[in-house]
Amino acid sequence: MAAIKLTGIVKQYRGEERPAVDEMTLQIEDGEFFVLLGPSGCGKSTLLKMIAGLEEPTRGTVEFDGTCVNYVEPGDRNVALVFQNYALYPHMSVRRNIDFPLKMRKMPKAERHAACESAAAALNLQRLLDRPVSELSGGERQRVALGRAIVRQPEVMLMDEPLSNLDALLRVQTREELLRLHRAVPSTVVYVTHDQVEAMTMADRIGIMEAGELVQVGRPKDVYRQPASRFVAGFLGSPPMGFLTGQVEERNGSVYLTGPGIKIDIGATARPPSGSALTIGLRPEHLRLTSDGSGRAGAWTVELVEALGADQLVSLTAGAARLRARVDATAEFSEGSQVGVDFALEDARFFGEDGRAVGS
Amino acid sequence: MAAAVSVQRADIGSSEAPDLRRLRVRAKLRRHAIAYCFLLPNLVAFAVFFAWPIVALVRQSLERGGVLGPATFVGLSNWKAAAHDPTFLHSLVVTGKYCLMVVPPVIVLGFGVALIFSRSRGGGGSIARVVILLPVLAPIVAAAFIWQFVVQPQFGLASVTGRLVGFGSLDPLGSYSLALPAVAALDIWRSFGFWSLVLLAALLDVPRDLYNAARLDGASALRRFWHVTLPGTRSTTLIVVVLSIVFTMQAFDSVFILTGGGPSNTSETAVLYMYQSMFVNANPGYGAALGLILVIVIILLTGAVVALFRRGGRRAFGIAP
Amino acid sequence: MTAVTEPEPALRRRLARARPAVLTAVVVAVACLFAIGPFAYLISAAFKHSLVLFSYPPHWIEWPPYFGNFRYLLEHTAFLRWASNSLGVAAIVTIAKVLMDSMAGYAFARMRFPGRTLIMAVMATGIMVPTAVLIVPLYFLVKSLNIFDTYWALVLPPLANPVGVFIMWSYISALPPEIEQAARIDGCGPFQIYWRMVLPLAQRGLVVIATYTFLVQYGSFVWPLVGTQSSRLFVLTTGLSSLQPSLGATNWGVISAACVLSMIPIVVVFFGLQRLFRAAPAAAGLKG
Repeated sequence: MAAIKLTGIVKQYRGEERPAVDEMTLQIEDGEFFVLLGPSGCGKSTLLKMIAGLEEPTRGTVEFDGTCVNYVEPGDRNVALVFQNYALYPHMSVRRNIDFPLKMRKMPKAERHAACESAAAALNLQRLLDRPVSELSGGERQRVALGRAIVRQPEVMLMDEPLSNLDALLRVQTREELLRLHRAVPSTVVYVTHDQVEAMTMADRIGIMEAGELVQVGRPKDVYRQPASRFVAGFLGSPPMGFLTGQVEERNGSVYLTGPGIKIDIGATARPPSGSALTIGLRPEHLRLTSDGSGRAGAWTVELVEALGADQLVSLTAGAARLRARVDATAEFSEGSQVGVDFALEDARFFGEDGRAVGS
Repeated sequence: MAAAVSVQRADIGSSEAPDLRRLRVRAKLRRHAIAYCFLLPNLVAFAVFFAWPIVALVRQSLERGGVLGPATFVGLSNWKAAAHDPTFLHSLVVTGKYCLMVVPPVIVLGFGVALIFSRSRGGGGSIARVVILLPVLAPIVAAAFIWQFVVQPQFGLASVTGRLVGFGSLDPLGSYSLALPAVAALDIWRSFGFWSLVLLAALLDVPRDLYNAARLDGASALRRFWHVTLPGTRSTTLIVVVLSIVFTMQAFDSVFILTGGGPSNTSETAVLYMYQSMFVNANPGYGAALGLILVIVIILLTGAVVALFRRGGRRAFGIAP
Repeated sequence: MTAVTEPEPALRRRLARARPAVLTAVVVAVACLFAIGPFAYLISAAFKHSLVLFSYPPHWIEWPPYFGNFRYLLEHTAFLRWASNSLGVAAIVTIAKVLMDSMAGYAFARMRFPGRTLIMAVMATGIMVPTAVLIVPLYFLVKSLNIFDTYWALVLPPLANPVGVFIMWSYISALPPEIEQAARIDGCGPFQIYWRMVLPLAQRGLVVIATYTFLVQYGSFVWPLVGTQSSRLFVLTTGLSSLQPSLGATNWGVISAACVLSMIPIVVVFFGLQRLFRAAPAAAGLKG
């Protein structure tokens, strides 16, 4: 297990205008399950490759337990990487795939055999050990890739979207298996994904990346409740947070957020001055619908009702603005009717023009 | 988040720790060295047995003599002489005629055979594919000798058939008008099988659904060929055409063995004339100049064909870039 | 008199459907005949005594076959020596090129280094230079290196041919880079990656290079002619041409026998390599 420290990491590819990774500083605790979350192209895989040693940082340092490993070969870093398409050695059997990293480290044959068997047992691969890799299904290949990674008991386990090529059911099963493995074999894990459900369910801490920059780091719950920017707020949570943009207006002692079709009472505490632009973010589960049109957000029209079984999703419009509310399935809403939208002020999030969170 | 270390967004290296920079440089040098290790055998062989001879050729083209006495520097006079040399210009014409005699038939034959093979189940049958490759495999001396069985005046296939039909015996290699075509026929026979199989592979890669769609649209066989087959095999066809032109222009062995350039220069291609100048006429400087001119011509021609094909081909087949 | 009746509709339909297949078969047969016809002539001449060849009307097949040509070839000429020279030189050059070109192709495909573009461009122009142009300077070079008229002269110059490098470059570029990355993480150095990953996975490219190199080397004529002069260094091509003196009577029968025998090794090697090619994994199937 090793603590990873990234300091001022920049990766600039020649010929590209913007760096793939821009000035990233991050500390990952020993034994932590850290998830790097972000949309495609945000640089998370590049960062992972730099931790692995497959790419050199243009600037900045990568440290394992305080030692700078920038120019240490990947084979000497005691890391393992599970690739998105598994990258198994196609000309070898399952056993030789798993055995390979040990063989390269010149481990004696008997020990290798034992390690192989125990890795295979942990992943339920025993009957597949002598099959050629080409005969395996996607899920089985995934497990072989994992086997090859854990057999070395590496200090750092890196995973690059390992579940994205699996079907939905397998994805859920493998998620649980990964967590189980992590509890049994406590290496530091850096897990890259664009799927926020994976991030929320598996991470000790999440790091959100956008366009090469680290936007926020924290425990899943904290990042969910206190997003640092509009981007983060909209990225986590399904269905996503709804945003309404307008101007701050003070009227008769109360402060409102007004815009075409909307007038929202946002309370008077610590708000930006009157006239400035502001965006409010409201999560669907925080909205309450009233039949009399009362509520902080005023009256809205029901556009669509989607039944989800225990809940229902109600899509609402007011002028050009849209919101979605997740409410209990017991109340009935008809499309076209008017309802009031209410919420608790402490559940709302506010964002300035630059997207950053404002207020407490 | 951990406290950020203030690193300026200035140029690389200005604020980098010195030992880190040393490690970076060492890693980079190590990478470059490894690459050159992998390249070394080829680089050495290429430098010694290709680049150096070319350089020597250039130097030689600027000299005169050097066979019996020392060589003297004469600047570009060899090159200038080449431009006015009627034999050289004639040999260029011969080379051009030769290309025209060889390349279109090879392409047409190769493509036609490939087309027929692709239509039949099993791609023409493995035996047939083996058989048409045999002329390709024959060492040139054997192939030329075999070909003499066709053109030999007394019992060659051509003349025997001629006699049977009443034409009287033919002596292609001795005739002014038939010598070059006879050599061309040899090269056609020797290469069509190879190109045929290359084109066959490309033809088999054209998705069947395109043909089915065309048939549903009512396209006749000819239109299907023009609008599905040709565009679908465009890149391979281009490579085949370019390479066969390049190889044909370079052709030496077949002419050398069959006719030696005769009778009286009717089949003397440019390459052959160059060889004559160097070895037979003992004028290596002039021959070197000729050789280099030839190389330049081939490079330019190849570039022209590629460019033409790319632009013209796209327009003709209506494919967007 | 029997009236000629039209075939019934069902039969006519079957004939119509069979027409394209029959046409195909005919064309295939004609193409094969064109390719193999001259060989047939050669084989028949090999088993005849030379004088019989000149008879008219032509005497197609000689029975019983005459083995005198072959006997003469093996007993009174150095044919076996020529054959072993050809095979030996071709084999050495092929093996050397397979290794050299795959190494260089790997460097071009996967490594970044100063001068990469320049070296690639220069090597690419090498393809467009006719070998005949190089013959004379190579002759002088070989003389000054003191390897004229030695096996070195036969084996070394062909190593400069850059075609194989580009073929391997293309095959290696098609391999998924993740496999090499995984090997790096598992502790492989560059040479180990080359040896354990690239070579096994790019087998088809290696076979293509081997086939091309062997074929070119086996049939190479002008350079062995110029680069050596002792008869002990004759290869099949130069030896064969020595059987046909420019003046005087040509022993057609013996030369035919020589050509027939010289075809055997190349055909065997070629089809052996083809089977290797089909058995090797294709790059397309290497997704996982």
